[in-house]
Amino acid sequence: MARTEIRIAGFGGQGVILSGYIFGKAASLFDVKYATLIQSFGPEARGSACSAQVVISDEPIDYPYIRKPDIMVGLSQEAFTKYCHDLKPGGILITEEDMVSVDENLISEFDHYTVPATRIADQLGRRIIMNMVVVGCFAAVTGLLKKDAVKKAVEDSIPKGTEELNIKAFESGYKHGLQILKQREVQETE
Amino acid sequence: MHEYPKFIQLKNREQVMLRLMVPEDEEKLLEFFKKIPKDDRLVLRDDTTDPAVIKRWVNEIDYDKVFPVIAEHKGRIVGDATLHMKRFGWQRHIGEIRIVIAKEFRGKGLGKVMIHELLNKASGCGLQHIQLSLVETQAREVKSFERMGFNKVATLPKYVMDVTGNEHDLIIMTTRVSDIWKKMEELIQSTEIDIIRGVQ
Repeated sequence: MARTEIRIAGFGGQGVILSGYIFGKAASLFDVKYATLIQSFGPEARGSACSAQVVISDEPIDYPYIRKPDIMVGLSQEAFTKYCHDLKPGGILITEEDMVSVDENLISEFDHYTVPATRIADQLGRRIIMNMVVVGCFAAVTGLLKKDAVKKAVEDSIPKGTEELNIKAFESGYKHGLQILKQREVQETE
Repeated sequence: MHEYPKFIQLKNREQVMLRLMVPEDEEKLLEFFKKIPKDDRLVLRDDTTDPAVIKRWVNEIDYDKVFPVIAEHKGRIVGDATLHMKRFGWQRHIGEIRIVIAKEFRGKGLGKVMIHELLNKASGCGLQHIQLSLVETQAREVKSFERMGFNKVATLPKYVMDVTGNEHDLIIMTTRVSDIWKKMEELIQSTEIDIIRGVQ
């Protein structure tokens, strides 16, 4: 893998930047890769929308901005609509199931996964951990980073006392991601 | 469930293993409690020098009812911290913590780490309040818990009778688990604020 560009987009309070920070940390501190994180640029940050640009590479990164992301995580309708066109054909698209409504024709060229992150987080007792569900799902479906590396990055990035529930959220997201992959495998063999 | 065992380094660089209590701990627990100074045992709820008490504890291990974290150093138990939970009733959202640390391991940060483990468990299983009880002679412990975010909410005068028949004030301290999550909310919000500040 030479270079993978990731955009995570949503609105304030969803933990968009923290998610990007976790991916970067997982790659650079707990895996043997390089990573950069650009929090956000452009007028979109003035409103409720925000985004994180993460580049992960096996080699040192000379240009930290993303051009055509290989992976996009859309956590709000506004963010999805704004950025989905930038995604590389064949790229991985992960959307929050209840927050983002997608036009199947629009995304036919992408490898699309949905995750009911808000619902899962609500079931676990705290909506604030929805981003950890997304992080878990991301780790499972992309396979970009080792699960343990991402898990360690989660543990290393959150306040003390919140580890157990955050890790539960991560594991739930990861499990959801694996289930989707398994379902696809079954469908392909049928 | 949080993963155990885990290894921590104390302020004096000694390494201690944290793990959950298991039935095989019976003898080690008995040894541990026997070495607790007599003055500290005056106000324990059970006679921990009685082998039958320890036997009952290890035979009734139920992590959903009592979450028991053990600190072990070179094969010896040096700390026992428990989170007590009720599954039903008006106290089902409240956890109670109890902790005993070997004398030579006090003041080295072990208690704080063990309390953190219990708070993490409490937070993870949806408890909203954590309470603990101390007596007025445990002034140092009261200060420690205050530093950890606990508040004195009540003092019941002459409410505790120790094993020698002396009466002591009972101090009840509590903390809200949601306070722990405020830091998480701040973390998420602060990163978003940074972006807005970064816009030219």
